Amino acid sequence: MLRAHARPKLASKVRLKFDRHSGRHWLLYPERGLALNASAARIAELCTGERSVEQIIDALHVTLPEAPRSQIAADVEQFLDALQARALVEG
Amino acid sequence: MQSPSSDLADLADATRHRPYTLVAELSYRCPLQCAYCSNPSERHIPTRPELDTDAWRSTLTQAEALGVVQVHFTGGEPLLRRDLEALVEHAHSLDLYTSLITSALGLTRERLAKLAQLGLDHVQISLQGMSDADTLHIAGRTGLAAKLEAIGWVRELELPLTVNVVLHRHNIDQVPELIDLATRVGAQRLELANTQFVGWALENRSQLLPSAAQIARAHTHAQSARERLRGRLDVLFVLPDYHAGVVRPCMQGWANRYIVVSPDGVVLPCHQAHQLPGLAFERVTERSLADIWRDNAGLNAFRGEAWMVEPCRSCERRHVDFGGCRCQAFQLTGKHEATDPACRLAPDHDLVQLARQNAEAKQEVVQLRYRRLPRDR
Repeated sequence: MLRAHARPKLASKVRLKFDRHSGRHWLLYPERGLALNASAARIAELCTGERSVEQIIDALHVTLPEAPRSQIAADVEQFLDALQARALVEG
Repeated sequence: MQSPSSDLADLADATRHRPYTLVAELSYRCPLQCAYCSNPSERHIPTRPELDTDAWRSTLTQAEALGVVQVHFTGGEPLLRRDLEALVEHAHSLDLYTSLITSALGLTRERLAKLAQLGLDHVQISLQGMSDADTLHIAGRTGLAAKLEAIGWVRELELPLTVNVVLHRHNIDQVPELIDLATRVGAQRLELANTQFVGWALENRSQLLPSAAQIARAHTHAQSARERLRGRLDVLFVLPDYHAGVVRPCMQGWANRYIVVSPDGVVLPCHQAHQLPGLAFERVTERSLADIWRDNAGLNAFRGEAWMVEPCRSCERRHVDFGGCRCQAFQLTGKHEATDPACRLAPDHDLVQLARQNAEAKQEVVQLRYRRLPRDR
């Protein structure tokens, strides 16, 4: 699991792309791809290596004030774990 | 907020028959003559000229419109095309994820820097083993030093790197050293690809098929390295179908996720399908790619599951393995629609068992049959 102060960044082999055919964002990497839902895409966009996990959670919380911060935090960690398991995120 | 992990879908699970990957075989020409080459045997290599730059550009544009998101520039050796830069640039302008699949022989740092600048996303370089003797033995010429130099440039230019090694009985015991090498040179991925015994590799099978013990050892090393290096190096090792007793999901299904276009423009479901007799494929210069993808008879021949015979037809794994490899089924049994003999349930599985038994016996050393082009005859 990524530590709270880590600054996650999509791995260099990974490209975030909006797929005009499905209307979804995808992560593309050699030989494979991963289709993201809107929430996942928003997190992926924030994984630039400049923000800590806490700052990513804060940034999402600003746009989703009605959602409990603890829920956002759990979702972010779960998603980053899923990316890390596939070696799609660094930091 | 919708849970971000609720519907993470590996692309293979999404829409039916939408192609994701274009395999652009730019040229069958190659400086290497690997005895396991996935290009068709020389008698199946057409004498038609290679597609020109405009035809490839149009193919890329049409492929993107059909849903393709990735393109592999491969061959033969794609570096032999002088218009590789123009094609990478065009693919990048279409927002395609571009991979260069290369032997790296003949590559210069300047050319690689230019390709990176034009938007190349990823480079895959093949190694034949840990020594030049391995390269010479399997590929008919040396070149390890040039490959390692090119790997250095890939890293200097900060391009993502995959090292690919096709494994066979003469190099599979080097897996621990190959893992160390890939780590040392800063690769992101290491593909330890067991030889698939179709085409050239089938002709050389008795010399290339490893023993079960060799595969088990390599598998153990690869598994432990995968855990140990998680996050640094993605180590890929898939048990070969001959030994696993289950078939591989060849191309994720016939004409399903991959479009292969041969150097002369034939639209194919895989690298070797033009060796299957009786199937009519078409060229990108004859009709639109969308029309060919939709209703070409060859592409529809084994699409989906209607063509399957028992035991595939009622098998639970048919959605996972898509009935295996049609080329392997034909090349081993002479029947296109036969159950892939690599499957332990296949009526012809004894053909694979026999080859495996022979691989356990002491090997008589025979000259490899090197891959050749028609003009080399």
